[in-house]
Amino acid sequence: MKYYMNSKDSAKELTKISPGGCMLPVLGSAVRVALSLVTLWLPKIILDCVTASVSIGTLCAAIGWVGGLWLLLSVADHVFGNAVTGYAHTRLYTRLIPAWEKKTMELDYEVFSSPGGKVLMEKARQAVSSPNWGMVMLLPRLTELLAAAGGLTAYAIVLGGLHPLAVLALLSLSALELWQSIRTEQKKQGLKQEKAKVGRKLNYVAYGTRGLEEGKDIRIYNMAGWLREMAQLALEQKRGVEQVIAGYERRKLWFAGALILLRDGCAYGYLLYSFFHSRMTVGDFAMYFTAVTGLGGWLKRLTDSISQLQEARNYAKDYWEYMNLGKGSAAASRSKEVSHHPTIRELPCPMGFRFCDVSYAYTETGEDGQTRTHQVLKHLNLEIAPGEKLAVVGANGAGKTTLVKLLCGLLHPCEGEILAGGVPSGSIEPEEYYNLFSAVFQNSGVLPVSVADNIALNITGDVDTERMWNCIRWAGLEEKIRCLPQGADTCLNKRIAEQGTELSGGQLQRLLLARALYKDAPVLVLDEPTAALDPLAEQAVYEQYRRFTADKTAVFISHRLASTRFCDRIILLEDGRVAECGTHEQLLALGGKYAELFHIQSRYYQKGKGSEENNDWRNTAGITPEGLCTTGMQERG
Amino acid sequence: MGWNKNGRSLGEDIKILYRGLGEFDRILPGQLGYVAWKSVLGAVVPCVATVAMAGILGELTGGRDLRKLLLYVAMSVLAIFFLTMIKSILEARISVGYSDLFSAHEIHLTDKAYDLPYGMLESVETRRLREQVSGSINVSGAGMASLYWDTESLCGNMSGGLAALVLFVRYGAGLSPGALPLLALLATVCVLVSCHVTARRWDASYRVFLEGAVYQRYGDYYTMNYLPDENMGMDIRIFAQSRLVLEESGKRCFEPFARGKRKELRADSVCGGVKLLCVGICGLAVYMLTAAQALEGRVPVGDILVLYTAITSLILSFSNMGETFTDLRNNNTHLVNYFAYMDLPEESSRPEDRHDGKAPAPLTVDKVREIRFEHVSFCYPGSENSYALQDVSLTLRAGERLALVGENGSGKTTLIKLLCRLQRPTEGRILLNGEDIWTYDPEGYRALLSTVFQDFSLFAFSLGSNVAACRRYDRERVDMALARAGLEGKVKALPRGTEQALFGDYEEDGTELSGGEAQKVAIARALYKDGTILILDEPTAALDPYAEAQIYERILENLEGFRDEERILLSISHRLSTCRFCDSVAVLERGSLVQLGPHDRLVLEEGAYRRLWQAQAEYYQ
Repeated sequence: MKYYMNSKDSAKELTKISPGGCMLPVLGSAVRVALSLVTLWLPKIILDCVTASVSIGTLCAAIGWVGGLWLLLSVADHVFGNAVTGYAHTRLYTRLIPAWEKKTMELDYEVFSSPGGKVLMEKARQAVSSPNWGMVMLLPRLTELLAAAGGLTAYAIVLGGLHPLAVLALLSLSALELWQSIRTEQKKQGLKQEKAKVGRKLNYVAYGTRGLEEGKDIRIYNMAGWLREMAQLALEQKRGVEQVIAGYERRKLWFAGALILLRDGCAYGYLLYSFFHSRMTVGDFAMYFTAVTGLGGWLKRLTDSISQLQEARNYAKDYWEYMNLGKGSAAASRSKEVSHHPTIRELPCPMGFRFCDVSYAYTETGEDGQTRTHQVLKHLNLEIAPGEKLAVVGANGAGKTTLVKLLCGLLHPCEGEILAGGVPSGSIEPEEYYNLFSAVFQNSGVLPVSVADNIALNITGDVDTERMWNCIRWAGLEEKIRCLPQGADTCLNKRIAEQGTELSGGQLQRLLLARALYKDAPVLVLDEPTAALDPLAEQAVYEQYRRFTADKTAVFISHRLASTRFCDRIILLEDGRVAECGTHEQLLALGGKYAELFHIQSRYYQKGKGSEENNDWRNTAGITPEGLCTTGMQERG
Repeated sequence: MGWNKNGRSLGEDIKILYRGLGEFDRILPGQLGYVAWKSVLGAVVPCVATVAMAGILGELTGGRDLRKLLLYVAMSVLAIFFLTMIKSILEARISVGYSDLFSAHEIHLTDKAYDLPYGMLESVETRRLREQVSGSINVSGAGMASLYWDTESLCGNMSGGLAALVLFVRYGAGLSPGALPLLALLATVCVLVSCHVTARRWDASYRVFLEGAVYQRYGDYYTMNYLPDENMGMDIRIFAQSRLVLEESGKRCFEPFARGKRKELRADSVCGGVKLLCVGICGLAVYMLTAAQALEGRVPVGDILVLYTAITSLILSFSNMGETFTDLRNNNTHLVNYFAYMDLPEESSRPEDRHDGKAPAPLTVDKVREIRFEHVSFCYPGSENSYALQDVSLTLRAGERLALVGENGSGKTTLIKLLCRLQRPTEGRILLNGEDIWTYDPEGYRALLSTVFQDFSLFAFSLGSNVAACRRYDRERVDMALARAGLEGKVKALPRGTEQALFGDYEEDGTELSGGEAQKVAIARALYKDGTILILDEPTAALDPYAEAQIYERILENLEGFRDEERILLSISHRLSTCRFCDSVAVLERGSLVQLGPHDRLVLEEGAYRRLWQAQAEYYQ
């Protein structure tokens, strides 16, 4: 029953991906069963012909016909096997994985970046990541299952001709073997944790540290001996666990060997008895013995293919779970409620925004598996006037990046509402809404395509060359791009693209800026766009900032307070709220957090202070409130 | 069929193979022996079964002696039982070795990386070679892994073929005189044809495989790196990259993959079909001939089966051997890469003085008095006409603190690499106490250095061993170094103190470190080593202003205890504020030293330093 359900569901799964694909398993398995029967039959015919002393013509005819059929079937079996593999590889795999890619790119960002979404995404990716295992195996596994079931039935019928009880006896022997192998699996399961532990260690010493990136430190601190020792230790520990497992396996094989001894001994005994006491031919004797040894093989293949098919179906389940994500969810229903979706052209330009009482919390799954929420923005109210240049400052973790993600429509407020040009942002189709923004985010990257394509991001290939070069020039990258072997047609990412080039951190940031300028959207968002630039380049960006943002609404996030002077207004985020708001001079005069942060940064740049000031600085740094800035890397800003 | 393949002669291929087998034995000692013996047993078992069956059938049609029959049965059943037992023991050993194969191989490669001169390790060619060698086993299961599988196949088929040959000659002797040569001729033709077609089939796969590396790379990049990345996810949506990415990944990966796969499978269907036909026709011919002779009573009935088994397994074994051999010869391309990597010169084997070639006894250092750069120039290999550093001369005296400043790419980090003896100057010399640093004993010279690189690395082992850079460490000294770097609080909060592992990669309960904490561990490591020359390369780049202030505070505190007659401090930072802590500032511009002097003077002089300073200071006035 289970077997039936199994194959039925798999067939359903297959028709879902590509109708017609399930004909191959049926034909392929039929050929395989027929082949195995003819293989069994051919020697019997020949032996019987010889012992019956038929004429040479009859012998030749028998061998010719049965042998010809056998030849035909064996070639057909090979071709069908390849057809099944080919279908799985070239039809299923090459359809499933692009569909996953499309889904990943179009999924609501909030779901995409949530811990749960990431887990589903990764599981779905693994399910279709290879043409040789995972979900794609549905087709070949189904073929194997059908063939094994057919073969088992056919052999059982053949042996039923010998004695019905023989089939039963053989099946019980196989059941005994199966029981033993299940017990072995259980014992192995007991070692699973230990195995995972040593596996993780070995994995780390083998692939986590490969002596390349770490090369400088390894040499300076003379660490090679230590690392070699740790690698050998991990290998030994892994070997220890593997030896125990191999011991279990060896015992299983011994048990199976003993069963085969018993089976073959009994089979020979019974066949000899039958040969002498009933009218069995020599051909029958050979055929039955081959069938006896073959029956167990079919049973084993059947049980194997059932569990393998189950595995493939689990992968398929993972895949569809991800692919169906977001269908009928809040985001989808939110946009459906509104009958009219405004397009950008209907909205005023430049664009203004209003955050009305917006709260946002990330959900995190802790180590204990419990979910907690991490409140980042708390009832934030903010108005961004059309055409305004706004600066956002604050310590790490104050919610700067979250604010920007909300603004761009990547995240949706948990409470409150964001109005874009007076319209609720949720009522605009996401793709249409994204068109409003040009952005340089932190830690962005480039595609392994040409510089021009990276800037224009246009599949039709018609890049507005003049505009592109202008943007490259404004971003201060012209000299570099002109020097490249193929100019703007040079591919980026040397690791992936064969003749690609690599950009330094500063150059990459400039390219991202050029890309944002090329898009020329009504709203420009810059999140720490100068972190990787040296002081002179940074200054150049600041100086051009006004020109970039003419006629646009702009939001600028920075650690370095220096940059904020170019903006109309500065807001200081603290604890998920707007703590201070005003121009640079106003905030300095206010003498609050902003002024304090500014003083820490500017201390060393004050004129006429010598090294004796060190002591003074140390004292003030000591009294700086801990909450102002948290120690740490740039986490979620 | 030419004897040259992939540009190598047969002799060269055999030599590479021989060397490869020897090398394999160094990665997994003894494994290949087990594999070989197991495959021999695997080939012999079916022969035993067939011979026994032939004996029984012969006796059934002939003498019908029950005692003889039972003897045959017992021999067959017991022989198979014992052979299976022995095989399972070997199999257990093999599975242990096999589970180590990939990691042991990678560890072997990493071992080699430790011994490479850093300049070579850093070069693009070496990196690419290493990626290729790792990739051939990890991605394609080729290289050393192929040797493993092919040994099994080669030994199994060789012994299977040999056993078949023995059976063929022994049982074929009873046939009429004309039959045996006829069968032998037929078998030879079939072996040649099937060898030829299988070789073609493997060549087709190999070509597809060669092209496959490219789409594998693109495919993995898109599906594993680019698309799942949270940061890229924002760009993808805001810049509507979806269509471009789909088109690119289709064009670069899935379409070429499907094309290659179709080609490979078509070749397999044709070649495999031909091979099956060869084997089948031969088998049927044997049936015809022997059955006809058995009819005449010339040979026993059972021999029909033995001869059939012998001839089919003969053809299959030989063509499989041919196939394996073709695969091995193709696989040699991977082995050539492997040896190219393994044969890279090691640091210790480099002549210490390349000017006159003779290596004088290496000098040892007792006390650092002075470090002098004499007209030092450096260019990275592959970019011979652009200098990363050009004609730099400067002197550092014991006890001095120097700040290095300059724009991105001005050569600051290169200068440090040269001083650390990681790279060798292309021109000029760096002198320690008047002698070229390359003439000193490498270990002794490196003992002088405590360097915190910008891209420092920590390992997922215990915190203490990370600080001490060895497995067993002096706990008191480690505690002290950690305290001096400002990590007492962190250590106290760890359940296992300095024994706690870092990160979760090695031990599950490893502690995560924030950027600032990691930075401090790296500093603690430098302090623990207590080298005379302390070098800090951008120690605060990843931090926010407050954390930056804290780190500098710590370093300064330490320097107070650190400042004696000998110690030298070299510091690099984008934030020019650090220059104030130093006795002098060296300004680099496009690889040249343009200014050198104390901060207070340079800031007043017209020049690069003043420009840099003002670019930052302007906003803070």
